[in-house]
Amino acid sequence: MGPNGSGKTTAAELISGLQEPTGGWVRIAGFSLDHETEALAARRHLSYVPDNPYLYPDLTVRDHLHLMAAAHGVDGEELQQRCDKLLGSLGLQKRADFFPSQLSRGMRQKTAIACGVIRPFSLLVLDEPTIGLDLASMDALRDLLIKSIAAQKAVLLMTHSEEFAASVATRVLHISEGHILDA
Amino acid sequence: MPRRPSLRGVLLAPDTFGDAAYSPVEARGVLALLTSLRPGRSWTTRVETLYLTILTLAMIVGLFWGLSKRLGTILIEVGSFYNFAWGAPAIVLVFLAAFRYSTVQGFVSFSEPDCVLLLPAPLRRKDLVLPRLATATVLVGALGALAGALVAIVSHGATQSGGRIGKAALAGFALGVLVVAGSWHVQRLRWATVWVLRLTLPALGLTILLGFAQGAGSTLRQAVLWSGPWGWGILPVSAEGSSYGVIGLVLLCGLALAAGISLFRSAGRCPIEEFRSRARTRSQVVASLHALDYRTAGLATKGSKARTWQARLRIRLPRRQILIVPWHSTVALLRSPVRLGWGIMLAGAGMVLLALQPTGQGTLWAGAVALYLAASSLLEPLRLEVDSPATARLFLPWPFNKVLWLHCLLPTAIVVAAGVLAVAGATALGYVTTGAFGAMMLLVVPLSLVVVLAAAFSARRGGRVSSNLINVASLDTTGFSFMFVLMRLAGWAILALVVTVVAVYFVGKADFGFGLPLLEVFAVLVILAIALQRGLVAMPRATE
Repeated sequence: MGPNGSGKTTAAELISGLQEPTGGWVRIAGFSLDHETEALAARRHLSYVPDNPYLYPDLTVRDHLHLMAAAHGVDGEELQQRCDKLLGSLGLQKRADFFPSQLSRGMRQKTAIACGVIRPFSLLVLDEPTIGLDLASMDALRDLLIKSIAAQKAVLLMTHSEEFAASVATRVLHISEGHILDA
Repeated sequence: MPRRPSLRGVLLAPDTFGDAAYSPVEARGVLALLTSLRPGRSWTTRVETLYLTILTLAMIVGLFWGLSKRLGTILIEVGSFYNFAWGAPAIVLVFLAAFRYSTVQGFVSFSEPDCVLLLPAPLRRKDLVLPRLATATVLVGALGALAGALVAIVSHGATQSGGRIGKAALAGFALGVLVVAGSWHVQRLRWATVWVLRLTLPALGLTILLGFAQGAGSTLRQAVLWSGPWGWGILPVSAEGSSYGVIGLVLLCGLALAAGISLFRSAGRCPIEEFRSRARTRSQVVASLHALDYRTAGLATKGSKARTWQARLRIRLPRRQILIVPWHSTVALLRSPVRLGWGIMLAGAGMVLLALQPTGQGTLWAGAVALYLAASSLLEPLRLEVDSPATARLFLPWPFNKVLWLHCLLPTAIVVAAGVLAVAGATALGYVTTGAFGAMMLLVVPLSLVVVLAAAFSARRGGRVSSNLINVASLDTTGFSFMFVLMRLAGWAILALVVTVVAVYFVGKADFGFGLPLLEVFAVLVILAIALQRGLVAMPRATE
């Protein structure tokens, strides 16, 4: 948690490999992001949901889930099952064949979250995932995160919302000017 | 109460990667899936695209042909006057342009969703990048080959042979490969991007020296032709002899081969950050161009990070209130030293070209264009004011148009100073006569004022075009509205250039010994400057 400009998004993007560190290193499950072969392994463990839902304008919600699953080696019947259940749980079933331009901000955010969790991961990094979500969707997201934690997954959540953080987090870190203040 | 969605039965991914962790997912299959998911285009859409492409190409080729004939005449006239050869400089300029392009875009591009969804996936990055690099290499290489063949045909007229054209085409292809390879390294390596930006001005200076050296005596010419790929590429079409051409070609092809290998080996080594920043820039540019806002499109390519020294730069505020705006101009220009450097260089060059008492139209035009570009470049603080007019209206005690006029003072002073120094230097070196020097000293102030004020009329338009105008124009099928929008976009710039050319024309006719009496030209320029200043201050609206 931290105020605007404290470095939450930068930290999330550094961990997920979207930004290059000017110093230091990032290791995911023991695999370095700097080394080409190890980075492949690290990327299998890591899943990132950005604060802004970046979606292909010409793909539907279902297409996005199929693509993300395929890009992480999930296919066949397992993919279909996982896709249907995730769409249902996040309230996206009726809009599964909609394009991003036909969705509200909240629906697009939920699609991005679904893209993040449809594939196998050990560490889930979410940057302000509650932006644009209604109360029911926030509850669904909370349940999803609690289930992930219960399944021994690590979840790193960047948020402004103290209430939301308190309801899911086992540990809260405050960040300011790029430094962790307390634990 | 909305029904709370249930997560019962959702399969959370198992953490069982095992040995599969190190093995990448097959990129080809994922790309094929992505293609299959995208809706296919109907044949009518394809025909429409083809029609529009042909129409656009025909318009561009027509325009380019007309311009190139005129521009070619000017370039040859200016070049032959100063014994300047265009061969090696042209190749260096192509490299430089491609490298500069790669600092903001490059030949390999991914969309923002690609950067966030596809590139972080466990796919081998090389498999995603290499097809794009291969396409770019083939396309740019083919363009280079075409350009090489055309140069061979044009430069040798009826005496050209098939072998020479073939060699020139091969040299062009090799140069194309080098352009793509160099650009790729600029795109993927942060330090290379930084150095390209830093070295652009020195490289341009070096390019001018290369042109003079190639046009000078045989020793210097030989040095240029053997100094690097810019010279090796010319050897197959130059008059140095067939064996030299073959050696140049072998050197060039060897270098292109090494560049091709480096492309292949480094295809997987580019941070997502580089692709992502370029994807963002592209989105902003496309959005701005859709709104016909060329200024915002240009600003999007500049980046927004202020360097530490720029933020720390401080100049004491003047005590006199009226000097606040020139103070603002000074700070803004000092914080963009490249722009300031360009402005000074172009202003000096423009004034020297006029002081040489040009008899040819090409030199006259070159002088006018250099002066206009100098003024336009130095007027950036005025444009910044126009970008956010509310700031001046809220915080400054003068009418907005007066603020714009005050922003013209510093650029005028810089153009005058650069002109005086450059003409004095040229006189000391013996290029400019003492009489011309005296005349220029008399005319430099009113001429600079006219040029800066004319450029200010164009700069005050800002980047935005009224959305109502664009909407109305897009509904008009006759095309007249589009012409109106074009005139709205470029009209002021054209008018400013015309005023500059007229002023320069008068200076060209001034009595440096003959022609119009000097004082008459001085009076004309002063009257023009006063009229422009009054016009600028009295204009009803500064922005749309």
